[in-house]
Amino acid sequence: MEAIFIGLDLLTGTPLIFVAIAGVGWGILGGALPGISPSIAMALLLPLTYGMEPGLAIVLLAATYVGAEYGGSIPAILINTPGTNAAAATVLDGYKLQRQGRGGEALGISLYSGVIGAFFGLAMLILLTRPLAEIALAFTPMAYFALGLLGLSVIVSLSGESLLKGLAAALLGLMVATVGSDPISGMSRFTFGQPELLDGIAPILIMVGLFAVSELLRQASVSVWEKPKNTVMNLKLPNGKMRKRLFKPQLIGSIIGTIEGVMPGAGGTIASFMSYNEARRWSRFKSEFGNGSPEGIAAPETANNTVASTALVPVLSFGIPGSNSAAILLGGLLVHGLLPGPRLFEENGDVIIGLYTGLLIAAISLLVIGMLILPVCLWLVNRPRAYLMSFIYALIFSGIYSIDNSLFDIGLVLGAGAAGFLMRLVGFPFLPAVLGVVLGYLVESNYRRSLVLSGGDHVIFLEDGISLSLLVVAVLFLAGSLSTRAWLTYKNLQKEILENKS
Amino acid sequence: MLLVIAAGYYFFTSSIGTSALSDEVGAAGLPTVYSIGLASVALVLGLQAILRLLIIGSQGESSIDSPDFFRMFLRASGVLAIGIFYLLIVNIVGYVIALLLVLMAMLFYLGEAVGRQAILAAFIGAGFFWFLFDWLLGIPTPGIGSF
Repeated sequence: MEAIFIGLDLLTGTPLIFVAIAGVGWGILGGALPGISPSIAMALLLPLTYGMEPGLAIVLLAATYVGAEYGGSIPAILINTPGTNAAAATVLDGYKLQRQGRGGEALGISLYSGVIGAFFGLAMLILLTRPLAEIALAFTPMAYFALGLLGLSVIVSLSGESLLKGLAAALLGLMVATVGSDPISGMSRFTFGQPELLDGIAPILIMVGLFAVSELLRQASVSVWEKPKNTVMNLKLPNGKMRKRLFKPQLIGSIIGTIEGVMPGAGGTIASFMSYNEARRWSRFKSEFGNGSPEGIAAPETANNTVASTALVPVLSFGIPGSNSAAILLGGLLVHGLLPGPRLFEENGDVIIGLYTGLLIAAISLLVIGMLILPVCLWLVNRPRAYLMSFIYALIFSGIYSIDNSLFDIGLVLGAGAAGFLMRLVGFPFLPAVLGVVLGYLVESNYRRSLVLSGGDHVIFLEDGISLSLLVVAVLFLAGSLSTRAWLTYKNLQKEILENKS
Repeated sequence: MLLVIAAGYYFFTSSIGTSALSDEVGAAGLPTVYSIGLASVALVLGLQAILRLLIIGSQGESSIDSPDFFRMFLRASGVLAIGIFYLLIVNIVGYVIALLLVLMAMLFYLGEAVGRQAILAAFIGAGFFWFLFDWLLGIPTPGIGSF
């Protein structure tokens, strides 16, 4: 009760409400610009927070994080360009809906799901910080490796018509993830003397190339633009029937987002992909996935917005930053003399309550700001083709350059775009490749760290409880998905042979 | 194509040296597994195509075989060429002018008539992106002659 009074006092007596709204607005802008990741949006604000009260500074940074995680879905849906890594899973059905002239509906679903995720994540952060923190500490390198494998098991579902092509795409992604310094010895691999490659290839470069540039190339390659018919220009929030349908994927996204969020290093990207996969598995409308499914947007969007809050658990409890964004938030805490850990909750309770209150305002303002800016975004993407494509190209150049002030990165994006265009032509799916790039480092580094711990004995993966559980789940997922796929392939082949004979 | 990639990747994997700091798996361990994996998948895909040809009797229509493929490829290459052009000139003429030229090139390449409206849009676009990235976000964009 005392906490509620402190929260109300903060709401009325300080500029907290304005700070939270400003943070969300800035975050949405940052997330929506490809290349300006949540961490960059937060880093740009960090100098501003030096002169602020500690509570307000942390709220500003956390609200920016919440806004940016949501903002990534806007270009994902409208221009096939994930603004953040975590928005990659939203591209698949979001952009399909946009191409069907249902962009307003897709944006409404992502906004609604994002807000649900932000509220759910906040509730988990407030209620379950201590037990969730214990889960975070229990994660060993073996468990992270198993988590990575579990994430890779999603490939079976994301492979489209051909599992082998999906597998090949995933291997290509894993190969890209090996570029750079070796995670254990630090030796350079596949860098060809280029210092820009020593840190590896950022997944966002591959995603923007595969999704956005290849789409531009595809659009340019056809003489007649497939303009969506009956385009709805207004933002359309889900009605009662749709909200009921979205409940299950949102629940899946919330649960997965909560668990993934508290694991340092797991992040919103794995949560989004796994939620997408599980939403598809448990959906009554499986065939709609990949062709413009509302559930295919709701699940990943709920998950990555839940992660934005639950990722604060390891930061606040132990000072373990699980991502770049969390590291900047940790920096914000330290700059103001706030040491993370159990004592933070006891000695600086007002700051923590202020943070929770700020996140609550951020979740509400996400809805309000979203409703204000999304119609403008919808209008923008319905401009004539030549203008839209030219501006997207310029946006890609500017956004990608801003990641590391590197023209080399733009070259990589163009290369990935050309590869993506060829993959489109020969029917190779993108998402397994993206998953390979995202999970490659996590899988390799933790696999090898585990073997260093065990002296090369693979039994260590079965001795660790969490690792064993995750591996069993991964095997079950794979077995289920493969058997379903094999049965469908057999039936299709049988049908094809019969048709050919007739 | 996949086999070529797998072979090339394997070739470069085999040139990765060993380090005293390395573990049992080594820096080349997983890359070797990936290249063998990709080569195997490529072979199975090839076999699958042959089997399909034998069982069903036709390979089905591939996008690459279609007569439009080269035309599509050439049109797409134009957009890529504009991107490469940007990379070549941005350090010479600076961010704003390079972006202006890219916007104009894209607009005209995609069929917009050469006229006041397109040129004005390119100017507004270049100015807007400079304002957003350079001025507002403080990104140090390349200046004129910054090569």
